[in-house]
Amino acid sequence: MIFTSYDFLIFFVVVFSLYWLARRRQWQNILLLVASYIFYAWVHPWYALMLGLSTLADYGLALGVVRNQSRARLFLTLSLILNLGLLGFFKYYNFFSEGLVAALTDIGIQADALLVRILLPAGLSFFTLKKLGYLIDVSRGDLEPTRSLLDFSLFVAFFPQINAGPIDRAQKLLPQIQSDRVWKAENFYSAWPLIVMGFFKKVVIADTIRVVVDRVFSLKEPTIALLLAASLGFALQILADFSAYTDLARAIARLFGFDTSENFRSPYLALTPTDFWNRWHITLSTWLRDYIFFPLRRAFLRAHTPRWLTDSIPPLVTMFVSGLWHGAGWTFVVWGLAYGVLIVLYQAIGMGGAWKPAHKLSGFAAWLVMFAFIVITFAIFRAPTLEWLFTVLASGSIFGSLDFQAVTVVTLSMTAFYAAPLVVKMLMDRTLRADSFWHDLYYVTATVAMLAYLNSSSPDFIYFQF
Amino acid sequence: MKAFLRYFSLLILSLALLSAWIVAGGRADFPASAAPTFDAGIDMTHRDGIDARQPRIVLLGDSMVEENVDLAALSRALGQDVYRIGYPGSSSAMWYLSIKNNILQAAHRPKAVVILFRDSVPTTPTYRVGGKFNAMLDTLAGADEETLLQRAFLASMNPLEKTARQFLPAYRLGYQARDSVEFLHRVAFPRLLLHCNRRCVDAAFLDIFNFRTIAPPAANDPVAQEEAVLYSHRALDFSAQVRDSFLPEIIRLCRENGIQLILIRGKTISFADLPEPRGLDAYIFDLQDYLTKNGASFADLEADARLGTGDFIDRFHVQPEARGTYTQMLAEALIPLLP
Repeated sequence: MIFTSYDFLIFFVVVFSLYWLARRRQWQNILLLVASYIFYAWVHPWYALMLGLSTLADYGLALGVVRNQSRARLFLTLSLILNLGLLGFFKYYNFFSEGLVAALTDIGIQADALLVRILLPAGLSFFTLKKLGYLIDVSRGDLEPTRSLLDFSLFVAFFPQINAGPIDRAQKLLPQIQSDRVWKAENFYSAWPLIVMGFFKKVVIADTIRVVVDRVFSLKEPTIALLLAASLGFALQILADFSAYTDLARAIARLFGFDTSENFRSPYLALTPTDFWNRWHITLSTWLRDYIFFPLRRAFLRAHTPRWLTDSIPPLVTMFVSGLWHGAGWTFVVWGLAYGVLIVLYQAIGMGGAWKPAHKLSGFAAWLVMFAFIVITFAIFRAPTLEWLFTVLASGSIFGSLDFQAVTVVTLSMTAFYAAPLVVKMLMDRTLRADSFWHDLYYVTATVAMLAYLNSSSPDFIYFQF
Repeated sequence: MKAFLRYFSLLILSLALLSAWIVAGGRADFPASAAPTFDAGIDMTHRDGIDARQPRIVLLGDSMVEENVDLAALSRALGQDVYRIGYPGSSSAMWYLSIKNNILQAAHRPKAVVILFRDSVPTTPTYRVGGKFNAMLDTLAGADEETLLQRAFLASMNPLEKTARQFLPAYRLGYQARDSVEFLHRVAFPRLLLHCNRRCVDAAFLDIFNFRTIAPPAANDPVAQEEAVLYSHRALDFSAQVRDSFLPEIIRLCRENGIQLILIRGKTISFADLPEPRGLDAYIFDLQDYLTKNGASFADLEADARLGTGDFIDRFHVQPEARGTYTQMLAEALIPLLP
């Protein structure tokens, strides 16, 4: 069930009405949990069973960590094995099975049965990180585990977040689950601009630009210029698509009285790679920072390893994991590593996390270079395979025939056209008050455009597949 | 609260003004029908072609019919003249219209109509009827196509969509706004920068984006996403789908006009490296059973091992050198079924 579908509208209206009629927190939480499991089980009911069992296991392990301190490390390890095992199996089985079957065939063992394709349960990557963060925080003593199975289950399965985040921490979400919630008109007033923008970005921008981007990335040999134009288009598509999902997820959570985290802060205005990851998919990057980067860096510092190793290995490993988290494919791994290398290089030339440009010109130059990196790395991310990308870059012509040039111009023109509303919105947010008339006019225009573009068969949000 | 009320008032006002402008300009009725409207004109090219050629067999389908079959070789192998009607990207709605408004309008009656299909296309009436396919349907649809409108459009619309299409001209004519924006991209900048006019841009798109230029397997990903509807649990539930599909109508039209209907499941490599969707086997079994009970015939080329992945350009289309084999397979399947 996706947020822009009719099915979801019916589902939401029913759950919303019952939820606020329930009034008592306990009933509200039970209702939300049941709704979350229905939402999750909508397409593949069996995956809800997996979600339930793994939630139950993590609930028990977290309590075990606190009750039996001597075995805390064992419980944490079990949770890591369980969560990473499930994630690894569902996410990477297809990636490795072909190689495994080929290797077995080489030694005379027929294992074609292993080639069965495993479908990744939607949202597995997201709720796995939620549970892992919870367990790690409990084992560190940073978080008191909840005694309530209901509260913990709702934290994991909360339906506005389960498919594609935001990956909110227990410290943020659990206290809200455990607090009384009463209907306030403010819930709606803060939600409606997010709903308008979510629908507008998904229906008008992402779904439209997706068509041309998909086509270019499915060509045997596009020209380099066309590849770059499509990468630019993909940069727009993925931002519009994913931020639309986040907007809608946050709006729905608000309508149920929850405040959830934002995931994007004008990421394409980043001046450095570190800056980019502080603005892009914020809840994921802070998770990676807190549970991989910082512990790794602290370990290197404690071990008194050479400075260059301390500065380079943690970002490389963190971004490698980020790439791997995004998908089972070499394109994602290289994409992640490319960011790791960029972060290390930027740090080496004194443009690390705290860097600020001395004047506007250097700021503009830094932005231009960083934006170029973002677009180029998205070409790696979106490429069907690395071989395909190498072939295009190595043997493709730059501009090609007039046919290719015409398609390149159309792709660029579409990207510029559909990026313009986001640029205008960003400028309005920076220069005008949130309740200004111009904002209302913008939302009206966006709604009318959305009505004109609305298609009842909207494709799934891109981040579902991660 | 003030901001929302202002937004809401502005929105109502804008929609009212926009609707008034659209309706007053004669661009749409108000309230309109929820289904799309088609003009009365029907492209009779194939009716005339059938009358001119007087074929015994008409082969109907999508681009597989065009690209995979050597028509002359097929006619020779069958010993009967075959006339081909292939609409690239078409589906059951288009085939229904083709039979009703072209084949049956010809003075000459072919002995058999052979439909080359894949997956659950015969009983998925909503597949490929929107957007550019709507324009394709319009070439064969008359002004009064109740069955088409009901099965391809109205049956799948939710109440909200129906209401919006009836009472919100901006929603109903949204595709025209999209077309205008697309026209701007396709015309303005290429003309300005490359002196390439609309015809030149259209030709460029056709040259660059066709199944020959698409890289397997990557290219199949977007295709596969679009195709997912054909493998959904609902689409593969034959008994639930058939009643509201075009298949009973196609069978009835052929039977009433003394034409033998033959459905051939074409050879593809959709599942060469993937397991077949659960339910597809049962679907095909039920389809065959239904056709047999209703006097139509069926043959399945999918399992024929004479063509492998190396013979295909993409999931559905064979290499030019494999057309002979494909045609031979088709002929062998048809010979025992032809009247």
